[in-house]
Amino acid sequence: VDFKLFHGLLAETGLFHLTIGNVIMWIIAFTFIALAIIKNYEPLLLLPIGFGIFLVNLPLADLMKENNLLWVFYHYAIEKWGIIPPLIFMGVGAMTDFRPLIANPKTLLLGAAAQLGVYVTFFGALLLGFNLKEAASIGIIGGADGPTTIFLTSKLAPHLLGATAVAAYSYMAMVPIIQPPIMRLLTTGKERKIRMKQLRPVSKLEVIGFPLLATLVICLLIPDTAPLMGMFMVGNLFRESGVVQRLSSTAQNELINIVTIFLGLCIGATMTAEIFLKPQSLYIFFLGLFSFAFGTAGGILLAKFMNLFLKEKINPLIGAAGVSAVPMAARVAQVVARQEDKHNFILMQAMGPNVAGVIGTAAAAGFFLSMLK
Amino acid sequence: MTDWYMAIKIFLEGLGGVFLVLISLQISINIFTKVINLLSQKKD
Repeated sequence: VDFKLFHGLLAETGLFHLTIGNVIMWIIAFTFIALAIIKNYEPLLLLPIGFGIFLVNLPLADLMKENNLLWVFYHYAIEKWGIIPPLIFMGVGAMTDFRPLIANPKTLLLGAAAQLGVYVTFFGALLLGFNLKEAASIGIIGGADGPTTIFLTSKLAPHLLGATAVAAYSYMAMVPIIQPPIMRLLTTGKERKIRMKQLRPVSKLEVIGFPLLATLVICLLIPDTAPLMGMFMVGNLFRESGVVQRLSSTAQNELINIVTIFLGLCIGATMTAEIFLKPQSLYIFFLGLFSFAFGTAGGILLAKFMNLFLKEKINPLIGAAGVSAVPMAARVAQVVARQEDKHNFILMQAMGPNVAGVIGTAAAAGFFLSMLK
Repeated sequence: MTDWYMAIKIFLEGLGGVFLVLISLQISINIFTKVINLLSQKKD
């Protein structure tokens, strides 16, 4: 028996090069896939992310080596051209109804206050030893906006992309668990019972004019946010114009589905054992949670502060919806309000700060980019 | 070594900037709504 030949053959297999790190990453990958299939936990993302992790941790397959398949996806779709986050924003824009925000524009302030978590965590990350660019990428998790997190991290700290993206999407899915205790802690029963008057009807001209107006104001003030805001608002114009039903439908269905496949695989592909299995990843998950909690608190506290001056009081629970996570955060505000008074309906009022949070997080990302790129 | 001066500048300018942008948008929506209401009243 030629043992040398056998040994040579074995050395060429992936099995011979398997590390403990690879096996741990497989376990993480299988956990993601199981969570998606069994628990239906963010399946659209966790399934491709899980399989992406599995693929890049197959020894010698080298799918993330320059010019290989996943490297090409990642390099062109995220790292070099960065087209995936803006395309997702186009789809999200086509799904977003800005009427609650237009009817009650002061809720924009709650979307701004919820960005407090982003900036507090930015400092927390610096204290844990991350540099400015890494700290900004970690802080933005608190905006609870996956595409914005990916957009900013890919430009400032691409080596953290896997951890920040997974943290952002995980916490978005965990809104119903994370937010209610903070909401109850910071509000009294009386405040949670506040009823808000029905929103006024918004005219067709207002909803068509809004994406143009918002693009003009936001992109003139923060040009770096134009890729996200421009696509977000063009998607919304497709929806509201009523004359390009096919484009609107494509943006919110086929396009976003195709992009989500590549997004998931690309995120998974960044999670090789040598990059992901570091204490840094645990810090990122911890800081992300911290950021999210502070964002929730920021929105609620500003709503309470605004009530000191407003004649018609606002239910402070809608402030918690200022972290984006559309529409989950608004639904959570509704659920917590109904636990106090089952005839209280604040869902539509909570949608205002909810969509304002998307704009606020994109604005925060634009500021980070303009100061750190 | 963390550049704390830069960090504080980012914090203040960033958070202040986010508020500035969203307040500007709020004012713009209010003006826009008023103009539309005026125009529709004139039309009537």
